[in-house]
Amino acid sequence: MSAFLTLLRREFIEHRGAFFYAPLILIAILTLLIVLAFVSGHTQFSFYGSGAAGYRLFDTAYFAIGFLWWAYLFLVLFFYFADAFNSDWRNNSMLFWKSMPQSDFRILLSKLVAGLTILPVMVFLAFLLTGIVAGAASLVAPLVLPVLGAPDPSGTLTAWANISVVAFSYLVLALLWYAPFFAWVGALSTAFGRWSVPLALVIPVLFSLFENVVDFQSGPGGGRLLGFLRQRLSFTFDTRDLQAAVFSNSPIDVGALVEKLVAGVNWPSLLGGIVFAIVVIYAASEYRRRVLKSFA
Amino acid sequence: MPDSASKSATAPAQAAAPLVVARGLKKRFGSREILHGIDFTIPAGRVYGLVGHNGAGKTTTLNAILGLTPCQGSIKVLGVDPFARRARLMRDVAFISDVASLPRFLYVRDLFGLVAGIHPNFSRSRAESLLEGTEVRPGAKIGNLSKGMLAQLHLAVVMAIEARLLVLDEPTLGLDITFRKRFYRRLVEEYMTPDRTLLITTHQVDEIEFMLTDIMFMRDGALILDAPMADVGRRYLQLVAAPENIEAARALGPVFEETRFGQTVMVFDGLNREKLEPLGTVSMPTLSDLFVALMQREPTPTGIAA
Repeated sequence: MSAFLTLLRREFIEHRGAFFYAPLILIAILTLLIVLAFVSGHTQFSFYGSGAAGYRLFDTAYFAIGFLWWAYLFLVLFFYFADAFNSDWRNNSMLFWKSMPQSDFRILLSKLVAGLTILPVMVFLAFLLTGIVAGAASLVAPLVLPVLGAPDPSGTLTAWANISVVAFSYLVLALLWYAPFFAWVGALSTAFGRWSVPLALVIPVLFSLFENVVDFQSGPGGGRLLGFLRQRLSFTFDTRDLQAAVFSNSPIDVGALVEKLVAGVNWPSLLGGIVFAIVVIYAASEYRRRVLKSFA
Repeated sequence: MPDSASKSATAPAQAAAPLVVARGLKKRFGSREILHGIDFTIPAGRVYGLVGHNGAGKTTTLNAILGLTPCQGSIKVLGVDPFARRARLMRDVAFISDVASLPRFLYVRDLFGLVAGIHPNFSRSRAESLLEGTEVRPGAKIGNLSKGMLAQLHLAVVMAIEARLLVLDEPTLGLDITFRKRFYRRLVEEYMTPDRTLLITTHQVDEIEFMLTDIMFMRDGALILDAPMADVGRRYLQLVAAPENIEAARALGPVFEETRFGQTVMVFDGLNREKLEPLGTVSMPTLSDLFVALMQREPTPTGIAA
């Protein structure tokens, strides 16, 4: 087990630029911008409704920040999987890693697990940190906009904790849901390097076109394959639940939101996706085991 | 076909099971056969040199030994099929295929930490002590090291692994003579023990001659020589023929002849020294001279020089 943890650590070290330094830099820039905005007085709040407190503003901002970080994470993970699975070839270190007593499957599995655990956790920590910055800003905001009412540190802290729990639940489930997609990109990367980026999309599209030609108009619009992929690539909150939670006058009910989130998951499909992910990673490891090559 | 059982080496370790046994080893890339069914046995406690032209099949042979490529025929390393059980095998086998293969994104101390975490037979303290006295610092980024420093670092890593077989494929390629000499001296003085075996390929064959116990020459996917160095010294002789004796020497059937600085040099296989001494100056050919001689020799019908 400690060897596997070491392999995870290796992934973190290799990709700490995207998953550690870049988020820190983004937070630093965001903090600087907020401070500059308050110091220079260049702030403008459009506010509708009544009875809102400072932490309501924070709720909205923190959720929005969460979605931005999720978009960042999804994009960076996509390129991580497109890069990490062939980086040993690209940086000419394949033979060094093959000289270690670790199987190719174990090494690729460590890349998959790292991509679904420690790397997202780093971005999640960045999200939490951004929440603290946003919370501090929301406590200062009433000084600029008195309509927000008196600063409410405990309410803001509670909101931060509640939204963090909801976001973490969403993150875990979404990563498990998208695991087969990431594994597919990684497996293609093992064989085709950076060409995995277009191939990850081109291959299903070609199969779908083939299906539509062979099995003309017998399935749903666009064909069964595209229909399945459309369903498999969407994992979202019911936005009505989210809006209701954010814009109600009471604190967010974490339990109810997480319960709805969990209830909305198609579990057989999720488990099937995880099995698919392991199968394609195994196939990629067999390719890596058998083929010695070098390409840039 | 060379047979290790007939070799004259009598090291105690040879009584133990051989480390590597290959029989009928073949490798094909597409329609092209790279290895033509080679046989060899590598006992413990030996230092083997594997020499051949580019494309002769050396690296493919090493890859087969290291489990990096599937092959036809049979090969066992430490009693197991290396391709089927590479990860397990690497606990007892260390190799350097290219000193530039160290992960360039790591710092030296990260590298030691990672290898310590994934290799049960790696000693971090030994690796660190091996680097003492070199210019390689623990805080240095591997990507910033010179090629000589990379070689020192990679050597420190493999020497800190308690391995029974160390395989080096062109380990000093691109290094200057000072580093090459230092590299090999460290190997001999600080790594080799009676129960360890070293298999090494290089084009600078004269530089490793002093440390070899056995030599294998490869040509076009076949082994044309596989013998202990002691046997090579007895079997092959080089004659710088006196001008008046050239024809007489030719009549004895040299396996190779060339003119060097106006002198006629011939290499003989299996001829008595007494027969040659009246014809000129007799000596043992250097490995590089012998290599050149045997590479130009016509192969026997089985593809193996007699």
